[in-house]
This record gives sequence, structure tokens and C-alpha cells, in this order.
Amino acid sequence: MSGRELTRQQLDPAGTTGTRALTATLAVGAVGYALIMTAISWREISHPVIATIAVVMLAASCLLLILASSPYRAPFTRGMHYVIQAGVLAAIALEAAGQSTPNALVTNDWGPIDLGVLIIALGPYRPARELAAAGAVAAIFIGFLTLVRAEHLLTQAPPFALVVVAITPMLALCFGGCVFSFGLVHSIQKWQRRALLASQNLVEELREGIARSVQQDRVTILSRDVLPFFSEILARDVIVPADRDRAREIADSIRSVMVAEFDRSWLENLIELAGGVGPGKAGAAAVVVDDPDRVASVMATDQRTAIRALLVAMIDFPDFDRRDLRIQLSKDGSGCRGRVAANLDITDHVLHSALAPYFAVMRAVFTDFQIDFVQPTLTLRFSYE
Amino acid sequence: MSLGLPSHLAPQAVSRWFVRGLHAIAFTTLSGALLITVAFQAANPQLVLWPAMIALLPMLAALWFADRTPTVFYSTAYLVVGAVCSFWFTATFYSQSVLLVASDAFSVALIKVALVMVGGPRGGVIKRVGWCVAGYITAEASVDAAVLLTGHTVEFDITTLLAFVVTTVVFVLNDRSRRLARRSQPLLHRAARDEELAAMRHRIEVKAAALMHDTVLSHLAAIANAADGPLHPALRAQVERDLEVLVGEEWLSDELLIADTDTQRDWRQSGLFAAIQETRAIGLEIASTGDLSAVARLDHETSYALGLAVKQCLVNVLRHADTNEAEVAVYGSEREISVMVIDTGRGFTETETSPDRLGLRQSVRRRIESVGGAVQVWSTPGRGTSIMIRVPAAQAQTNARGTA
Repeated sequence: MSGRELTRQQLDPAGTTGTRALTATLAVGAVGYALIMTAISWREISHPVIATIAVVMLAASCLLLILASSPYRAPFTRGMHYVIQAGVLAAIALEAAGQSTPNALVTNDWGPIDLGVLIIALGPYRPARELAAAGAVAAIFIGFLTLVRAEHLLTQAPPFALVVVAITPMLALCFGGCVFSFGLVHSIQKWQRRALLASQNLVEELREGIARSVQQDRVTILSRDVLPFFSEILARDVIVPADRDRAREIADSIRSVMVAEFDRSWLENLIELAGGVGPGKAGAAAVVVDDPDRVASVMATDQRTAIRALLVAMIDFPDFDRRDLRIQLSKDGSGCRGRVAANLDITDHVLHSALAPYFAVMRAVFTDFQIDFVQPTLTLRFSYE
Repeated sequence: MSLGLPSHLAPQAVSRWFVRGLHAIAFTTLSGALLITVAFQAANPQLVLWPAMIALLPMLAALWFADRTPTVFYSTAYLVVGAVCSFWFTATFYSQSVLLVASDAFSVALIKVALVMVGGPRGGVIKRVGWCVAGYITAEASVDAAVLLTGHTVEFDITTLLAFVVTTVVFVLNDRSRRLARRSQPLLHRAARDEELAAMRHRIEVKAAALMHDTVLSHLAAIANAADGPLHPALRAQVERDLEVLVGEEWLSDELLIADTDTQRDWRQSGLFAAIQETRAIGLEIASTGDLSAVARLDHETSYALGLAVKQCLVNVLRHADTNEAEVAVYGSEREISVMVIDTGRGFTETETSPDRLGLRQSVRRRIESVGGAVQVWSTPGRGTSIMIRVPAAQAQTNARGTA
């Protein structure tokens, strides 16, 4: 996942699934503020149609922002950010064009403050640096517009002061939002590095125990046939024809166990060891996992983690039965495709509130992640390289 | 990794950076107010605005301290200094011409906004909103006092109220937005750790399977092919060792594999040398060529794995290739060591070998892949086989881990 951007949405998909409420509130608030300010300064508006178009333009940009910030449409792209930014700048230009009377007050403009508020709303989805750059470009644009208007305004204020008045609220909101986003992204990255190290250390600490348990598994296989056989031969110190057959037989059985173990993927192991209702150890994987091309092993650690967390979360649902769970993986050209289907006896709302963070992580680590829920069947589709 | 901050760290980080974000807003608005004042003074040299500029400096300094050390003391100090300075600033502006007041009420609003952004020490939503309210009240009180004192009427200031409302809304909603993740985050962290453990277990199982193949399976095969009569002393010794190793020792721990580091650099102590010697003992003639000392650059685990893998290749030559001659060639580069095992025997097609034939898959390919190496096989039925085993040198391995 080297192409991942330094945004909160992409570094912490699960943690940002709930930020949309804030984004939507700020976007709606921005439109509300524009409406109120337009109503208050209606007498200064010389071209009501242009002023109305300006508000409509802002509303359209805000709507776009609300739609694009859905966790189900993640990731929020740079292109989308620029489209929204351009929309708001156009609204600001139209607002200025609609108010070309000498009595207008720069402080009554809703445009720059709304743009600042929207930059804060964009915080979780785009890198801080990109937001700061967008803010700087907007500041130049707004400054230029203010200078052009300053000549026609009846005010004692020097034009430079008017420019500062116009851009300061926008820049302040922009910087505030950027510092917050940058800081959180920095904290998340620092934590991720620490978590990786801690988890590696823990695994290293547990290494001995795991080795012992693997050895125990082997010894269990060996002590049934091999150890008695070897001990017997050593005691007898003579090989008889029956020994040769027995040796072949034991070797074949060990080999077949080893081959079976070797062909079992992490996913099959996970299914067999997971709790919940349904077929248990030794049977579940054969029912649940269909991976004819053996592509489960191609998944990266991130991807395995996402699937593991999702499956564990689903298995935790009451009444979840592993018999209804199907996981299909297959080769598709140079990449691989996956499909997870499960029966969940829950409502649409519960599905989205309880599993949204896992879906967000899945979306961040897989390409073409799709969710389809026709009660009670949940179907997830994804692909990976 | 797609792991967010865990529940015990998230509130602190969010709170800390939220306050710093507020302070960035305060710095910007105060700087804006300063620039506006400078612009007015420059445009109207007859006015006395310089005290207003000076009033902003202690406030900027107090803000800097409150940002560096967000404690109750520094936050309160910022509010107190801010109250005095905003009074001073407003009084300076409002004691000038009426026209000026009409055209520049906004720079006063900027200072008030800077006070609303006080932030305060770390804490939850209620504390944070509390500091915001304190900032708002301080700002309104000090500025209104200055306005009244200079004989003007107080007008309702929507900008500051708006700043207060937006800040509060953002903080409350931001806090609520994390609730959804609060349940999922521990599960994600556990999944990540389980994944690491599963990967580790898998690596150990690969090792165990390869070891089992080299010992038990190999000796069972020897028994199956042995002649009737007394047990051959060599076979007896091997079987005895199997029993000891498999049951008695912790054969999967690294200690067993660690050769003496001082002697490990010696070719004669390398896994490859041992493999060649052992296969020679069972009747294969082996010509070893190339840069043999290069194997000294392998770490113990890789050297051990390489030795066992080459041994398996040589045993395969003896068993299946229908020849008793083979060549082992070693090439060393800075980053990796390549060993080529060549015979001019019967040859085979890898895909056509029986799926339960574990030798090449298990003892060679998996084993080498588990230490980060790669195996390539070229074999033509009737013309022989060449197996190229490439493993990373110890230095290259460290580098690769460092950049991963």
C-alpha cells in the first residue's frame, strides 16, 4: 500500500468513519451562514440573480463534499478536493460580483469564512500540506478580488487593511484545521511505528512458546507411530521384512499429514480456530473457504489483518453460524478477486454502525471493495494484487 | 498498517492537537489585527494607533507560552493578559475618529476570536467548552468595557459568537465521531497481533516440517530400503539421534542452529561444507568450485538452511538422477550468495513430480524461501539438472530489514 496518502482517512480508516457527521454539519452550517449573510446585506446587493447563483454554487460544493466524505466512497481524492475548492472560489467571485455597490462591507462577505470552515471540514480526508497550499491559493484569489472591489467602496480603510480583513478569517481557519490534521496524522504514524515494534517484540517473546507448541504437535504425530517403531528397531537391532513395509507405511502417513498441513492457508487456519457456532476445527475450512488457486497466501499483512478483524467481528454477532459463511478467492488476470458472503440477522442500520469501521479498513487495503446487503445476506467483494 | 490511535491514546492526542489548532487560529487572527493596525497607521499618520500595535505584543507572547505549556496557569495568564491587551487595543482604536471605528470594528473582533481560542490544558469536551466560554466572556467583557469607557455604544458582534459556536460544535462532534471506532479499534489491534503470531507460527512450522523431512522421513526411507539383518551402525546412530533431537531437545529454538560465531566464518564449519561432506560419505562424488569462502558472509540461520537445502539437492542426485557425480559451484556478490548444484543425470520436469514428493518443495524451496532466498530449477529430461539457490548475504539482509 505504498500509494497511501498521509491523511487521517487513509491512515486510520476505522477511526474516521464517524467524521462525516462533523463534515456534514460544517457544510450545512456554511450554507446557512451564506443564506443569513445574504439576507442581512440584501440592500447592498446590486445583482440579486448573481448573488443567488453564488449561494447555489456554494450549496452545490457543500453537497459534493458531503457525498464524497462518505466512508463508503473512500478514499476522498485530490481531484474531488480541487473541484470543491474551485466551486467555492467561483461562489466567492460571484458573491463579490453580486455586491458591486459602494456601501458593501467586506466584513459581511460570507465567502472567505465559509471557505475556511470547509477547509476544516476537509481536514480528515486530505493531507495538511495540500489543504494549506489550497488555502494560500485561495488567499491570493480573495486578496485580488478585494483589491479590485476596494476602489469602488466608500470606506476610510486602506486597501491593504481590507485585504487582510478579507483573508484573515479564512487563513486562520485553514491554518487551525491544518495544524490539527497534521498533528493527528503525525501522532497516528508515531503510534503505528510503536505498535509495530511492540507487536514484533511481543511475537519475539512468544516465539519460544510457539516453537514448543509446534514441537508438541509434531511429537504427538510421531509418538503414535514413529517413536515406538524406532525404539523397537533399536532394541531389536535387526531389520526384518515387516519393518520395511511398516517404515513405508509410516512415512506415507506422515507425508500426507505434512502435505495437508502445508497446503492449509492462514485463512483456513483462521476459520478453523475461530469461535462461534458452526462446524469446528478440522471441518470448517473445507465448508467455508473456496480457494482453488491458493491465492490466500498472496495477501499482504494489512489485508490479512483487515479480513481477520472483520471475520472475528462477524463471528461475534449473536446467531452467526459459520455454515452460512462462504469465502471465495480466485485468480483474475494478474491480480486476485475475493468474495465473502455471510448471513447476518441484523438491520441495515446495525450493519452500518457496527461494521462500518471494518468496512473502512477493508476499503483502505483492498481495491474495488463493494458491499451488498440484502437481508440477511451480506456480500463483500474485493480485489488485490 | 491501518491502525488508528488506540482508545487510551486517542483522547489525549485529539485534545492536544485540537488546542494547537485553536492556537494557530489565534496566532493568525492576532497577526491579522496587527497588520490591519499597521495599515491604518500608515494610511493615517495623524492618528495615534501605535499603542494598539504594542498592546498586541504581550498577548502574542502569552499565547506562545500557553501553546508551549498548556497548563491552567498559562491558559489563565493568557486570558488575563488578553483581557488587558484587548481593552487597551479597543480603547486606542475607539478613542480615535468615529469614521475609523465604523470601518474597523473587525480588527477588534479578530482579537476577541483569539481569546475564544484559549484552548486550555488537556481535558475532555466539558473542560474544553468551559475554556471556550471563559475566553468568550473575557473577550466580550474587556472589549465592551473599553467601548463604553470611550463613549460609544456596544454593538452585537456576530463574528466572535460564530467563532465560539463553530469551535464548540467542532469539538463536540469530533469527540462523538470517535465513539464508533472505540469498539472496533481494540479488535483491529488484536487482529494485527494475531496476524503476526500466525505468521511466526507458520515460519516455525516450515522449519519443523523441513527438519522432520530431513530426519524422520529420510531415515524411515533408509529403513525401508535396508537389507534384512542387523541394523547398520550408521543408520542406528542416525535413528538414535532422531529420537534424541525430536523428543529430548527444543529443536525449533534458534540456539540449536547457532554455530560458534567465530568459527562460523570458516568454510569448514559452514552448513554447505557439512552438506557436501555428508553426501560424499554416502557415495556421491562432488566437485566444489567457485568462491567457497563467500558462504562465510551468511548468518547462521541462512547458512544452516542453505546447507540442508544443498544436502537435499545432492541426495536427490544420488537417489533419482542415476549418476554419482555432481558439482557444487558457489558465487558470492556483495548482496547475495548463489550456490549452483549441477548434475548430468536423468533430469525431470518439476511439475510432473508427484505432489506428495516433498523433497524439492519442502526441504529446498520452502526452506530457502523462509530465509528470504529463491530457488530456480532448470532440468531437461535426459540431460541433467541445475538448481540455483540464491540467499541474501548477512549485510544485505540487515539492510533490507532496515529499509522494510
